[in-house]
Amino acid sequence: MSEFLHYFPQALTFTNLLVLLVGTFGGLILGATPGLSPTMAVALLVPFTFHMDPATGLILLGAVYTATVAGGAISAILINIPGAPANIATLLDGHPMAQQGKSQKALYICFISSLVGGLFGMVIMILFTPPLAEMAMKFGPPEMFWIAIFGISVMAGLSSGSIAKGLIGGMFGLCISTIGYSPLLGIPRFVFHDVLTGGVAIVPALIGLFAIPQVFSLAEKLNSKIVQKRADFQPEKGILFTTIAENLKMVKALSIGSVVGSIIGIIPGAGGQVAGLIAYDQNRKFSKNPESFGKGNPEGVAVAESANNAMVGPSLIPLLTLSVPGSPTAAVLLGGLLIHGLFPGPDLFLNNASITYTFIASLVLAQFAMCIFGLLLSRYSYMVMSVPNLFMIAAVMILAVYGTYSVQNSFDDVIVMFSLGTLMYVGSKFGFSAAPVVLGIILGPIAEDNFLKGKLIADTDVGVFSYFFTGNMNIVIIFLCVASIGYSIYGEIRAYRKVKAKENIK
Amino acid sequence: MIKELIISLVILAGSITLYCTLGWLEDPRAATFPRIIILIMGALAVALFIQSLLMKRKKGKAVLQQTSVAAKGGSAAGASFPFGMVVTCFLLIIAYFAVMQWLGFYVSAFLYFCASTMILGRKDLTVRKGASRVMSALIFVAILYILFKIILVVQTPKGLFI
Repeated sequence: MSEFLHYFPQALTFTNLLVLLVGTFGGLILGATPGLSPTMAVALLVPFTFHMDPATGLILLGAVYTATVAGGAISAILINIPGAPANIATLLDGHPMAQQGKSQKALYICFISSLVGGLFGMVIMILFTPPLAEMAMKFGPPEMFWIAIFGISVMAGLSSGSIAKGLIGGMFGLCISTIGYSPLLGIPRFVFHDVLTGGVAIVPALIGLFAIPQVFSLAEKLNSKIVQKRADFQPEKGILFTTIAENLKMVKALSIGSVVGSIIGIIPGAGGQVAGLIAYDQNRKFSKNPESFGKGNPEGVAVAESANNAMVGPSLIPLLTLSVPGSPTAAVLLGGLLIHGLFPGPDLFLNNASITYTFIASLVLAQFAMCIFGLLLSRYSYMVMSVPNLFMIAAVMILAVYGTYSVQNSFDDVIVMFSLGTLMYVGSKFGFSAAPVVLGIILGPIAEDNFLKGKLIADTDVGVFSYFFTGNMNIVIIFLCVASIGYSIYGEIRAYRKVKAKENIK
Repeated sequence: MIKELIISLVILAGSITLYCTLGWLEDPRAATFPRIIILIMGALAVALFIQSLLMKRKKGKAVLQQTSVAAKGGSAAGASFPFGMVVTCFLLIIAYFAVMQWLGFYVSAFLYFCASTMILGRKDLTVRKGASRVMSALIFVAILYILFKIILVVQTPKGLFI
């Protein structure tokens, strides 16, 4: 805590504050725009941070991450389409409120609750991150190897409908990470074309895997006959202060949202949508009028938004301490850290304390900026909804090319980015998800490096099996890997049985 | 189900091919990690194959029906896949890349913006809408030029123009 307070003023320098405000404002608009996911928005912005010092670059990414999660509620409330998966629970009561002519009130509640939840999550993050990072100091090559595998197994289980497909995605990502020269021996592997000689850089892979499938998906929807249920936006004058007072009285909803969101956030891979839905469900169970939920109950918006923003801070705890991202967007943020030469774990808090604590302080400030901008933008947010998909396709594609080319001024990277993206789009049609692939690419070098180091030590010592499969910490992490995969398999079997039972009834 | 079976076989074939290429490496130690990964990937492909055989769902019928409609190029009726739109989008991007190496980033970005909004949105294209799309492209590229070229001074693909 003392380090946090010591470095707090660094987040308040003119440049950092300006970047924070621009990032928050832009993040709200990106989050509100249907078709632009927060993960893709952060991935597209990573190249912009090359020209900034690491702390400023991370402030931009952190501010956009925070704001896109809250901004996604705007489209959830106004047009019944969540701007981000984290906002799924918000639309359950947010859109009915908008249909009742209470769009502005719903948006006000959304941003105030986001601030409350977000601040709670940040406190949890500040308290728990340094002790966990200290624990990570005791990790050797086998523990680091298993941590990388754990990260992939968690993401594989939660971001794909099928654990087998998720794990295949993760393994495919690990395979991509081995393209190029081997780290210890300098021998080329999988270099089937000159374009691949230097391996696949993180940024082109991130942009390709997240942006290109989105471009094709937007193209798919151009002639869609699905009619969006757009609520009429009716500005309501003079309701800000009464809404704030009303919102702050929802102590139960805000508490449930903040606590559930923080707990879910710490669990790697669980993500905001899980946090929002569980908190919403819990609040409804504890409510005196459970039947009013889903029909425009303001408490529903408050609990969902406080939960998905409370998740943001804690989702960075496993990322900053163990390199295990708590959500797909956090995985992209991990790429941003590595690009600036910052490696998660104790190194971040010992050798780069200035950057790390400035980043954490900026996330706290971003919560306030998000709330203030959100409240101010509420009256005009309906304008963001009218950006046509046609323009989004062109703009995203042009930014994807710029972002990829700027990494090494190489057109080869653009080709790699587009090829990976097209492959991912085809994969998505077969139920594969981008998040495990990205995590495989990011964690691949960590896994391989520690595996080879560990193997060298093990060969001269106790043998590979004993070195990697014994020891308390190894057993704990292996158990977590198995539990994570086992839980996903159990969930799949349960879902299959439910479908089967329904089919039999029909 | 057919979809799952096909994809699992494709992944298995890909894994076998990649595994074989590792045999060409000068030093087998460089292949240790990729070999383990590929073996796991192959095993997962087999697991997916078995899973899709065991978990026969009635939903499989719908997937087949949808695929066959898409293959025939079926359009707007129901939930058919807009194959033409996606292919057009793909070809426009390829053309954008080709032109970029010749004309440079900014000019090609302007042309791509105009072409993609006009061609993909040709159904409701009017003179007025066309003019507004060209103006939007111009404004967007001008913002990029100011941001990248003047403020950030970053390199972008160069060609005959800017």
